[in-house]
Amino acid sequence: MRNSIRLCAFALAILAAAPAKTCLAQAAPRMPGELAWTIGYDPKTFDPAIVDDQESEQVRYLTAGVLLRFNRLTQKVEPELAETWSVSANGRTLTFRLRLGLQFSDGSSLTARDAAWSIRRVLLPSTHAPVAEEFVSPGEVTVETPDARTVIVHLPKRVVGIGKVFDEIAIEPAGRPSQGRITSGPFFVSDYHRSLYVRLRRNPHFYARDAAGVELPYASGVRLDVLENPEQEIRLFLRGAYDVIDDLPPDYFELLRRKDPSTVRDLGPSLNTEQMWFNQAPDAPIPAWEKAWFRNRAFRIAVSQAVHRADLARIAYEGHATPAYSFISPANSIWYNRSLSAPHTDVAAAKAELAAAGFHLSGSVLEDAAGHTVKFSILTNAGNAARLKMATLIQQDLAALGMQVTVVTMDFPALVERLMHTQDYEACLLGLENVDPDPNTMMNIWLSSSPNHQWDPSEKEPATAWEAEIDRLMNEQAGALMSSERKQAVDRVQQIVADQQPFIYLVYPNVLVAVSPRLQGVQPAVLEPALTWNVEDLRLREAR
Amino acid sequence: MTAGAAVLQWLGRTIAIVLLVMAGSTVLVRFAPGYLSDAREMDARYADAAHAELSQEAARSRSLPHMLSAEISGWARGDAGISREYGVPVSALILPRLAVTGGLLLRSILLAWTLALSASLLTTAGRNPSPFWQTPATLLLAIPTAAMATLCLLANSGGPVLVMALLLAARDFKFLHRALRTAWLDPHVLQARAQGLRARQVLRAHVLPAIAPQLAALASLSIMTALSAIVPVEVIFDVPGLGQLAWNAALNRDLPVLLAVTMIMALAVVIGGMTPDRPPEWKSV
Repeated sequence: MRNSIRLCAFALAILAAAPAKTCLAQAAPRMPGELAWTIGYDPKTFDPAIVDDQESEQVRYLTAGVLLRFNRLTQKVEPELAETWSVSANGRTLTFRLRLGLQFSDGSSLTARDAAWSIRRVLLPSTHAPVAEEFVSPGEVTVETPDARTVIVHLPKRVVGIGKVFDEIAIEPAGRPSQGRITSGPFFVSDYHRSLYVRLRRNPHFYARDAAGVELPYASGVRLDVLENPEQEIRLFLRGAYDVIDDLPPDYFELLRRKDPSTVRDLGPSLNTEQMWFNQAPDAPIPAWEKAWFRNRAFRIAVSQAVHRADLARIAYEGHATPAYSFISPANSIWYNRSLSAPHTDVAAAKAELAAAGFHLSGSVLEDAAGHTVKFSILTNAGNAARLKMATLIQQDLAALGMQVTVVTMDFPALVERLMHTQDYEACLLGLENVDPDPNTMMNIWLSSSPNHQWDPSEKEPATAWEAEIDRLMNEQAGALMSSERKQAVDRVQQIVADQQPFIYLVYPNVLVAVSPRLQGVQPAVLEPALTWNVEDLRLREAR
Repeated sequence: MTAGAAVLQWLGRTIAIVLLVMAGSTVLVRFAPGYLSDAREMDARYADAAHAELSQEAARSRSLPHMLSAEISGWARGDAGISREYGVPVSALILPRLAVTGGLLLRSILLAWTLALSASLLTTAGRNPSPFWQTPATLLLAIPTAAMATLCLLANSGGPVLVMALLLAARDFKFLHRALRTAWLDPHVLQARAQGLRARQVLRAHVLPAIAPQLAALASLSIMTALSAIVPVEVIFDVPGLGQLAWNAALNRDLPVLLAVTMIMALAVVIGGMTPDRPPEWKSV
């Protein structure tokens, strides 16, 4: 038996060694001066023209040289590869003057021909570039290059916020699209191991220099590890394997705060909203009386008044959210309507509103005028702890009105099918991510004809007078020349939405991030990418 | 039955199982809620691209027999198709992950067997089964794999190999201990020990040969147990293997990937089952 004892000791030694090894298996070795953080899944493409998912977009942001960059901190469009740019008085001609001596990462020259080719490429229908849509009529846009440094873009009609569109158009070598291998941005794709990591290397020919004349970017590269599990991400972050964590869920933020409070930052309300809405689609396979409740403004107002938003922020988001009453967050200082009048929490007023609309209590149960018990389900996606907590709290709040609410969670594809195709749901609780502060990007939500007009998608014509007014105002702001006219129209839309409550806004989740103490140059912004928008200025303390 | 006929019978059975797996997976995924939807539909920036892809998929999957025959003929040509989620050939997704999962399984099974065998040898030598070994094994069997993995993650200690190995070792230990103890107490082994034969010689000459068929059957059982645990373990520890791929494919209704993974799993189970008949007392496991 001595041998077996030895064997056992050997096994225990392996047992002790195995965990240590496997814990670190995910992190690839870091190169000197290299930054590292995670992405949730493999980028679908490295071709900057056809990016249609968030992680590919992140790679594009880090690698693409663009004519103009939308500064995430100042929220202003700034020249990047273009030294100067101008828009004609009628808003239909844009002229870009390129910087002198621009080069691609392989050392070849970057001229107006490359810029024109890249713009034309995204406009071609065969490219299927999502950004082409933002030109409204991409087929009618023409691009000319009078000389090697000038690019002129002619638009068939004025496009609101056209400058920001060029933030998404990567300038690539003419006729040589390279899947991010040859770029004019701060980094280029050097190595990709599917499901493991994407490695970006510093572009030695990037045009930018700091105030002291030092070439940017400072970092020798960026490694983006493909990692889905936030617990694993936090564990590796605490070990120094990662430098930043963008977009932390509140529970993980608190977990990290308890372990290392110096690393976490709450940047205040984001542009994103969390809201619930009732299904008002006429073809929805739900009982007619339920449709009648959901189309009843008083019913929606009463529900809105019964919800304790401060509790949602405090409990579901552990204090890292702000009560919401509008689709525009206070973080969006330009467009937020400060004089908005919206229904606030008032359970007595909610009961009175329901009574006036013909609802009555039968014991502790609310019934409509025809005697139907008011009960419905709130659908939300599985796997989002904060949303599930909110739904449960709302269930409790509405019980005070006598409404019987059940909470139903489903995985995202099944939920999308219900929302977008079958309309087989009663109420839904979801969030909306706003990547751009300009309300023009929300046209797809507010136009009644849009498939993303969630409470009643793809209306053939506006179902109500207030929806018709929103249509008119949103179109008006999109064509207005004066920003004051646009602001006026958007303020009015915010007020209509507050009055009608098609979406019952709940909270603006705060932007929660974590930054390694070793990382220098971070200037957190509310807009994405919150921590890495100025990636060329980021560096590790040891490097350089 | 001749050897050739036996091989033919095995091949026929394997092909039938694989075809059943293909048909079952296709039906389940095709009729799963959300098969013809895409989260990108909710995002104005990507909605058009999503709608275009969904239209193509709707046209392709209109008829189930057509879908099945397309999948089978694709596989017959050695083409596993293109992933719906990633837009790359399924083989490009599977092959690197196959090595990761294979390595994880191999290390886990080896560690589990080393542990189980060591513990069994120690307890077999004693007069009665030691609660020192029995209790932890029973406890480990009672804890769900996902819970054990999450505990390791929260405790910032342990990894996928440890979790898989503990799960397998706990199960293997129960069987190994029973088999070894029975063999250890056989009259001829008792006789050999009484005559002064050393423990090592008794084990090598009498005990291990006697339990060899059980060991082979236990090996196949280990493979099947490990396969059933691979999905939660890989997902929780973010191991880029087949289990994680299968999970993502299921969440994203990625039929070509799911088909490939389930077929690999089915083949592994079929091959794992090519061992001598299990003893009657293990058949309930």
